[in-house]
Amino acid sequence: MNIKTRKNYDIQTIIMSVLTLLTIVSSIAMGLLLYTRYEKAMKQAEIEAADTLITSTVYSVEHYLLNMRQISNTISYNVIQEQDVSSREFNQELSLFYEMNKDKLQSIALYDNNGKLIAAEPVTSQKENVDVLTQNWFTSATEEIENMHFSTPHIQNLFRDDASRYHWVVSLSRSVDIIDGGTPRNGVLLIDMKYSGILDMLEKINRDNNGQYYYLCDSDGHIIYHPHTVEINRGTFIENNEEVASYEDGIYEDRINGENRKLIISTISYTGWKIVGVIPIDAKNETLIRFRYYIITIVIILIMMILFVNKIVSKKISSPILKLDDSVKAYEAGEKPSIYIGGSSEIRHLGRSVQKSYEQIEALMKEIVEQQNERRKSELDALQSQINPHFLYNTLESITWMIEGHRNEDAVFMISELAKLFRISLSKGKTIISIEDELQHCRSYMNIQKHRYKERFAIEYDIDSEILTYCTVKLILQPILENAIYYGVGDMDEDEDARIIVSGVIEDKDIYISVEDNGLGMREEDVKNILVDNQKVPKHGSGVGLINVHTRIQLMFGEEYGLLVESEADVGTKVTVHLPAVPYNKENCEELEKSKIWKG
Amino acid sequence: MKKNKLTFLIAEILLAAIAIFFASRIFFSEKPQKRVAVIIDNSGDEKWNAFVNGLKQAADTYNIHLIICNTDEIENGTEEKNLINEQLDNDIDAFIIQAAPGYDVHQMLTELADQKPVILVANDALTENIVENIHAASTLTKVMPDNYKMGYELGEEILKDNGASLNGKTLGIVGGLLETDCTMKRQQGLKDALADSGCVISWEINAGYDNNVMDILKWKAEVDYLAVLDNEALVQLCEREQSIANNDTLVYGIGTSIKSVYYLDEGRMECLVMADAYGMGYDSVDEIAKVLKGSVYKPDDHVIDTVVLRKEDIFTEETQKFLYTYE
Amino acid sequence: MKKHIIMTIMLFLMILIVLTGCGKSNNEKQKTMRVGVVLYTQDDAFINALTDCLKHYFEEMEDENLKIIMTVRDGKDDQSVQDDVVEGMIDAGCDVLCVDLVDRTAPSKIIEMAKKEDIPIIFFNREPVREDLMQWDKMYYVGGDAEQSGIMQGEIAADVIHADEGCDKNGDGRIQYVLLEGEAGHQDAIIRTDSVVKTLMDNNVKLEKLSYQFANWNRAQAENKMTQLIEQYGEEIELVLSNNDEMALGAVAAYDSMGYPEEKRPIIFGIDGLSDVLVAVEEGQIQGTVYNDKEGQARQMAKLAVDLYKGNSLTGYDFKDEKYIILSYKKVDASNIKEYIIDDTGAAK
Repeated sequence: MNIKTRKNYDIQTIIMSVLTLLTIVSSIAMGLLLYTRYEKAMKQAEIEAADTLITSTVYSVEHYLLNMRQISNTISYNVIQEQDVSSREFNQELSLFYEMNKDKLQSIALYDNNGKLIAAEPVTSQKENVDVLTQNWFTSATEEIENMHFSTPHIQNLFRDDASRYHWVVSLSRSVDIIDGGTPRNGVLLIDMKYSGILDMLEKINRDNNGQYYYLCDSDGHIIYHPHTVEINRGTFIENNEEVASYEDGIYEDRINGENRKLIISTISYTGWKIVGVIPIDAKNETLIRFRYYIITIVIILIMMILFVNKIVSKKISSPILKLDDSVKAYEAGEKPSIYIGGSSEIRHLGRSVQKSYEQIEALMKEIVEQQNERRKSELDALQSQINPHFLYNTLESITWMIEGHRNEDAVFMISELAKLFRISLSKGKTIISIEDELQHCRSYMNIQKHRYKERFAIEYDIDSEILTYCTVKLILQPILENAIYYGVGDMDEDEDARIIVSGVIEDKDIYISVEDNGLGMREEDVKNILVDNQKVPKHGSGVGLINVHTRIQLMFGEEYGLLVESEADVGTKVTVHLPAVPYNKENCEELEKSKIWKG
Repeated sequence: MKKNKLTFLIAEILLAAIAIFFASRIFFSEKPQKRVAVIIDNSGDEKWNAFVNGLKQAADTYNIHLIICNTDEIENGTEEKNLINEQLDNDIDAFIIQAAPGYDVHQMLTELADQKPVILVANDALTENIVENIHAASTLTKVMPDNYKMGYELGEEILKDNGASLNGKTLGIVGGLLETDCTMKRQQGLKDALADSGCVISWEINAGYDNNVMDILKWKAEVDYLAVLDNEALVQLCEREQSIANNDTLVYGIGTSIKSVYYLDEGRMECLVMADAYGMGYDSVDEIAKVLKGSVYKPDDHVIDTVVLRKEDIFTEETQKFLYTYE
Repeated sequence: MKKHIIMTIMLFLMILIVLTGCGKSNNEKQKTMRVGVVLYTQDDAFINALTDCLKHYFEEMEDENLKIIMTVRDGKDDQSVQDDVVEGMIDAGCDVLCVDLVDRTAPSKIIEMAKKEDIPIIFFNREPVREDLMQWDKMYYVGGDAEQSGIMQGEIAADVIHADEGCDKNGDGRIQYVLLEGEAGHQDAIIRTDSVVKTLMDNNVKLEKLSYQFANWNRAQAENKMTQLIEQYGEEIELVLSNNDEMALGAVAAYDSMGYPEEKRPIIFGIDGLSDVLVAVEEGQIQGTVYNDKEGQARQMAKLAVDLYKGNSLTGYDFKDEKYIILSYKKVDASNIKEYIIDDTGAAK
């Protein structure tokens, strides 16, 4: 049969575990909450910052382009339309414009509708074999004459350069009305802005942005600036600029190459150009990662501290209980510890209750012991009164016969012996007498018996004189002698030399008084039963005697003392009385009388 | 009771260890950038503009600290070794090197490759068997154009312009530095392309660091065609042409700087073969980054694209995109 | 006994080998000096020529104990680009910097970076503001004195004018002149313009200003402007002063293309001493120029750089205010042109 024993956890473990679980769960929950909130806030802040940056960049670019357009306008209206292109003033004014804006402009050029160069600043020679008519800036200007046209960045393919350099430009072209030598004509005003102007603006906002970047494209999605232009051209970077160009301004989410990103789109007025800010959502922001570690560290330290506090708290709570428990355990183990009183009021109350209970138990136990002693005493007293009455009848009868037979000396002798006998029997109600008195009692008894049994047996006394002054329970030898007479030698013939020997010795702390007869003896079983159970022993008179004596001795002195019976059928019987050697004096008597169990 | 205490202590110690781990990550989370040294001759020269753009862009993407060593001419392996040693003392994790002229460079670089990752760019290190087999290559990782092919393509362009027959025409070849892999390969490629054309090679010279090619050309016979296989020589030639009246020699060249494109535009040469220098820079850093990330990665060779440019090609969108890399 | 002897001999041999090994390595200590030269642009012919001289002088100063590597980089006419270039050079290891600033008012970043790594800077050609140069004791400037160049130009012009009455074509006692200026607001342009005019007047030349035009130091633009001026003033122009040689050559080209015969042309003066102009002086198309002593500057720069690197004392230099090494310009006109022509074809002074 399988009995599964459920483990019983002690109170401290229970408190600790529960508190720990609580701590960990709540700390982690709090950490997670904080982190997610912060993350959200950061992402939000990131987007807002990007938005702000884009707004300001849009403003800058608009401003820049506006500037260009104003230059174009001014030249167109105030210079070209006012001046004849063949005049000196025309060239000077054009030159002035160029000088004023040299840092942003690569060149200003005026062509007629056939692609012939009319004027240009700065002055330099044209490249050979350049077909202006096919260039984008020219065609878009002539096709749509009402608007100004911005091109995408390209290498300027018009003029020779003294330093043999190519220049990347963004062209602003428009159709204009020219006055040439009085004749009105149509032409195209081309203002080539240095690409580096736009490049610088956008490169500045693209520095170190945690994976964010910003790019500029025109309304059809053609890239004007992108930090990864070359990679896009080579195919190693994918951007959805063409798609995005058709979106309205705003914030969008999309997914490219497995990466989620947020797009912020803002349009630059007039040109239709768009600035697109790309913020990867998943990007591992350094600050965010740091913050994550920070939170984790804090949470762990928090847990550590709270665990420590938990331990102290649980200990404080459980310790009085445990101490109380220990006291009780100690008590159960047999010690007599003082019960722990401490801790909270309930524990104190428990402690006190337990203590009181234990005290009550102690008291009750004491009472019981006392009662038992009392009982023993009465038992002893009772036992003492179980003396054979037959002996009295017979002895008085013998005396009557002696008086009737005029054997007066014998009668006197018998009566005085009887008197001695009874004097010692009473012993003024005392239980303890000296061995001398006890032996006197024996002699008296035996003297009386001898008369009755007409000296059919002999009685010898071999007593160590030393023992005479020791204590004994009264009336212990007489029953033994009685038995020895009745069951031992009483039925023996005269010639069989029946004798009874009473001997007594002292060995250190023990006194042995033995009554030995060479009578009938007892069977083995009877020997065994004789001190135990009075039912089995055949009675002549009342066999209570030996058990009575044995019990009384044990009641007084303890179980290690008493009678020892040895017998062999047809050989004899020897009964030995084992007593402790207690000198007969006042104190000892008093103590023994108080029925205190003798403790050697 | 004791068991409790033990459990508690163990838990606390474990937690403390984890906390310290994360705390340290807060402060030391920045992985030190890997440092890559780039050793090329005349590193400040314009001819490397696109290459350096590619290097920088990739270095930015892969978070690599790029050190472009300050150099002028690297004339032999010993000079190169000194530069390398200097950088080894500078905590460098990998090298991107243009092999110096000479036969001893190969061994020196192979030994270096045992210590640190090495990628060769622009030209290979010369190996002894190049004399027998022009296509012999070193065992090091290479990210560079196929120099033989570049010479060959140039030869083919010369043929194309003449209906595949150059009978009786004379050709002068201006090669690059002696004892370099690229010079030998380009020259051989060119010659192989023109092998059956009937073209006569009048003379071959090699440009050097200390001379201006024009000074040498002064003394050479006039030829119908001039094949210039070295960027410096090409630029010097075209520069000086400004002041020298055009003679009838047709120039075909291999170049790496944008100036050479300009001169093509000006008509000073008929045809220009260029390599994608940006790609060379980008791919070499790309490979290095991969090697530095995981120790088991074996770097791959990259053969960089080459373009053959004619004047009319310059302003096509394709070419514009290519030229953007020189910005 | 035998064993003992063998051991001793082996020990002796080992010690010998070690010693010789040590001795050998001592000889291989050749120091390498790195010079970083940063230009404001690679399109300036004068600067390029100066850089070539510099290289030449550095090569001269190499020996078996010292190797000099000179790297030249371009600032692309953008100060922030130049700052980045300097940063890269310092990062790659540099012992001395020679910097021709894009923006002479903005050297602070470069100074900061160099100071941090204890790298001395020799500024050249474009002079930083005095307060900036005084920030640190390891910064120097080597260059010419713009004012001097203007004065000299004025002096040679005055000499020519006084020597030849025919310069005053219309005989009115005044010289009608046009001036081709470099750039609006450019320090050198302003100083040169100012000082040449002043010098002429101080030298008893009466001037009548016809026009000043900006031509951006550029030959073609100067040609264009000159053409316009010729169209406007024709033969009235008696003197053309140009802030630099390139523009002077442009002026010559303008007269060439307009087909003016020699006697109708004005006298033309430039500044710099470019080889083309020296030829023109020899041929009489330009009457004089002021030689910007690029060889001298380069030599001083090279010496100073090496001395700074070696930590030698700098007592042998002719410092002005302890930091400036100013090299004189030299007048070049028909009288001494021969010296310059010979000296310019390769051989350095």
